[in-house]
Amino acid sequence: MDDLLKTLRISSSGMKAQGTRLRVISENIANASSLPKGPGELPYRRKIVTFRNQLDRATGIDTVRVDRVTRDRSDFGRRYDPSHPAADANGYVLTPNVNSLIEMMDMREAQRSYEANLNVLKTSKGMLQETIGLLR
Amino acid sequence: MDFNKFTLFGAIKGRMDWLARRQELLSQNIANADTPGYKPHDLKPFSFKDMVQRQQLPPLNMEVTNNQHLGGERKAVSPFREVVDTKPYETAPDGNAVVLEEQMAKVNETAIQHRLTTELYRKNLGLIRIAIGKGR
Repeated sequence: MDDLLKTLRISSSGMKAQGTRLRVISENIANASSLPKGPGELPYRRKIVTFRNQLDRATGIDTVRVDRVTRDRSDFGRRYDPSHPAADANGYVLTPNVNSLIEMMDMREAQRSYEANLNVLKTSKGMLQETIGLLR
Repeated sequence: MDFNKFTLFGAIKGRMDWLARRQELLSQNIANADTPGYKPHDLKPFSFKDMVQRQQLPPLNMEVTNNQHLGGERKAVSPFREVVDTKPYETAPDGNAVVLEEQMAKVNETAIQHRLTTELYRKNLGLIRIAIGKGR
């Protein structure tokens, strides 16, 4: 019974981590066309989430949490648009290093992991209910 | 009347402990499905030998005399052996070896076995009720 209650906590930590990941993905997608304001400035830089496995010493269980949100160091894109206020001398504007295809794939993966955690939560709840049902 | 002295009740209790512990480990695996370098864990299968000659070990926890101490839980005292999957089916480039489908299948298997065990418990209780003449 105690183990099953711990299960609920582990699954919810997984769901929380995937939720944070989804939030960062939505930030990236929303800023996919955040261009710089003036020449020489940089556009939006993509954010990446990494997960970390954390041992809860009090109960001895492995939960998961978001380690840190880092910035993607890859190169920015360039677009020819001489009329833009942020265009350089050659007429190019730097565009964010967000690839919406990659973000969508990441989003599907986060969704899949979230669903898996949710299903485990449901299954554990069912098992707990069966155990409690023995009292009937 | 100690129900655990009835062999079937004792066996069922052991089995349910094992199932709850396994569910906990599987939920850990699923929560860490995106943690770099994480290897999935599982329990050693519950054998008939465990069922017949399983002795309850006393929990030897650390004494907490200050609220800044960590109580902790001695893993070795847990009656079930934990194994790490050394030959995973598939390992992601970041070293994570959790296959979500495989883990979900295991979770379902655990839930079904739990169901079976609780039903067995109920049946056995019904038999005792009949024996003491209380009807079904």
